[in-house]
Amino acid sequence: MENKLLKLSSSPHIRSGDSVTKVMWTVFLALLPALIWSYVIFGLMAVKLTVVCVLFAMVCEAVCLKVRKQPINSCWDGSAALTGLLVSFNVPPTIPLWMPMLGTALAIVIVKQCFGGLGCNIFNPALIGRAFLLASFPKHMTSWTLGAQFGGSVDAVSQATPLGLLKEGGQEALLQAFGSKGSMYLDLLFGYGRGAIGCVGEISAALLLLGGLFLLIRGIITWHIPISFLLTLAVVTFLFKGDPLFAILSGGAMLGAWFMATDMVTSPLTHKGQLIFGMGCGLLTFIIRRWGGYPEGVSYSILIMNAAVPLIDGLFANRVFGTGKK
Amino acid sequence: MKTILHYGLVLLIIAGVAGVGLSLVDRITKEPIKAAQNKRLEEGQKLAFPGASSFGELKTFETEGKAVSYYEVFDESQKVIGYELLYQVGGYQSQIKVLTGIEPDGKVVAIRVLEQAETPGLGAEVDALPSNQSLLCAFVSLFSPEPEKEESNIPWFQAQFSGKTPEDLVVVKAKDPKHITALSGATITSTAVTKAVKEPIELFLKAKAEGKL
Amino acid sequence: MSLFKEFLKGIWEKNPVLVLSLGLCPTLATSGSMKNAVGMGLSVIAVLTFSNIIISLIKGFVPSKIRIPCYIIVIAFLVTVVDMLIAGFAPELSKAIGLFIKLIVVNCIILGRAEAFAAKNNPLRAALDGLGMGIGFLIAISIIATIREVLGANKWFGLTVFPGWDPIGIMILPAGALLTFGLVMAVRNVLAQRRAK
Repeated sequence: MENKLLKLSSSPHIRSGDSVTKVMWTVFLALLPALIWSYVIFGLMAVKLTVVCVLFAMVCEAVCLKVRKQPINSCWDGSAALTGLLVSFNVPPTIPLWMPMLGTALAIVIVKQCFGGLGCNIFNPALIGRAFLLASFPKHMTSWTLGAQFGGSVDAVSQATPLGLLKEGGQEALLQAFGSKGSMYLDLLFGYGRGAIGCVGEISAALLLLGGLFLLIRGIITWHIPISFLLTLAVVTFLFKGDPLFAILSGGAMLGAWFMATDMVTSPLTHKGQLIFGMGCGLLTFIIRRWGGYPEGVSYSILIMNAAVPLIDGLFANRVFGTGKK
Repeated sequence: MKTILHYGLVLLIIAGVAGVGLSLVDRITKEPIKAAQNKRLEEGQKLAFPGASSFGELKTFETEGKAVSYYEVFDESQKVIGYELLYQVGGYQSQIKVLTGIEPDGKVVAIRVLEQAETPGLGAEVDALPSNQSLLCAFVSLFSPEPEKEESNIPWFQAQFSGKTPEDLVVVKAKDPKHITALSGATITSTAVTKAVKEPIELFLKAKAEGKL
Repeated sequence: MSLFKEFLKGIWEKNPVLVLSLGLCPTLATSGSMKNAVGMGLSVIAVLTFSNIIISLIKGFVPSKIRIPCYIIVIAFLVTVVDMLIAGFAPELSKAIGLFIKLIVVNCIILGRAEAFAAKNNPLRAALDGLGMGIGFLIAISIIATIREVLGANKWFGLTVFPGWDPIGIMILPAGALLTFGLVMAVRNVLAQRRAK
């Protein structure tokens, strides 16, 4: 009896060349445009913030690996550095430096290493870092400033993000701040003018989209999570008489959908599961934005869906080869 | 059958002894408990209307489907100089019970948050005293027998309400002596307390105009 | 086992919170500030010691099939007495921990020790066990409360620790309770392992 599918070839095997290191640095590359743009907008404070977070994440990783008696070299694989970068991307640029450092340490030590290190964490470490900071320092985590070119400065009275404007003043306040709908979309897309405000890494939707498409083309991620995430968010917003384009361009939607919800460790394995995961993220984001206490809900929605991943995986598990159909 | 009786008897004895014990303790503690409750209310009453000499019985009026309890406030010659309104509003995570002292025209004399269980460090700061004595100072003062300075026992957030008219009772985020400055990071609690002050005053004024008091 | 060891075991070797994982609900709920934690710890010591003594005394009288309801009645009785006494004679304390006192009824340290120890030992040993376990509970909850209150509110017994420092607010919230509890338990385990070597 011959079964072609079970045939194994003898060596040499073709290796894909993919490794953790390569994947991580590709993601880094994809985040580079957004990173550079944040430096242009926020200047030195963004540089300090991102560099400190990345280095500190690697130090934490190295210490943890040492304590756990694992090869310390793995701290160079980029996963810790990426977590550090994403933490710094998810905080306002004006935050005192020790706070994101604390968030980074928590993300690496507790969320990642205590659960068993790379590949074993249940939740996205960077997002737990953000949630921790938001719960701990609500004042610092919600005081925003425009980029210096656009009339912002560190000492300026805190301004509202576009989502904050929508939450407090409604559609009118938004239009008043941006002038017109067209210029609002453009500003948000390119992180320019009144749109140059928010967390360090979420300023320009276009550059994040660019990075996301790069990951897609390189095959690091599939389209299922980001597209179902953004599409659900837009459709639900539209159904409840909101502005769908604004919903996906503002806040952390792009950053979350392309770079954080797609984290391989904390997202479902199958495509069907990924679609459900993305839809859940989009729906929860809308619910938190519309009815929640905070103007932005991307991070919480992804964390909640992270918790649901084992359940989703169980529902949509691939049939084990050789077992009967149900 | 015999076992059931045996078990029942044992339970009966234990429960009986416990019951008798409880009634004894209740007899001892009944008065102090009542006194403590009254004391807390009286302290609140005095803080919410400094300068009053006595308070009337608890009364209730109803307007627009909402019931408000209140006390009349008397001066030394038994003349009504104001009222104290008792009102409860849902805060961020608990019911906030506020006693508001007002003059007959609705101007706030002082308020006192009687009960709240908001987030410690954020909403619970409605009870935060203005003094910020540090551990170090407290430790030092243990060894220096100087008399301690008399400290204000009115939380700064609640002190803001004194002298405001109902129209002034608006929560703002930036410091503004004309309105109510929100506790940082606790806008919901600040708004709830303000509502617990403003709403009964408005109801009171309406009820007074309609002669329902 | 010597009587002194009987007393001592609740503090380190068989600490109710950090080793037996009993009474976690009050530990997590009241460890937000030292004031509440110490109040809770002291009332547990009182209730636990007396409930152990009483249960040890009546152990021959109570048939084993209905022992649980009997223990519950004894514990509920003691808790109600403590609650009324505090409400009557320490109203400020009652305002702070009144709600938690009533929760002692379902604190599993107390039922756990009644069932596992007091029902099998003489009153003296039961009393020492209750006292030791209660003190162990007080120590554990105080450690957790100190970490949480200092980090989360920058205070200790309500007094500011580092003037001008922004505390880490989440430590005061339930999430901080779980985080601190886990870390303290981990540290205890590490220390215990070191000692065993």
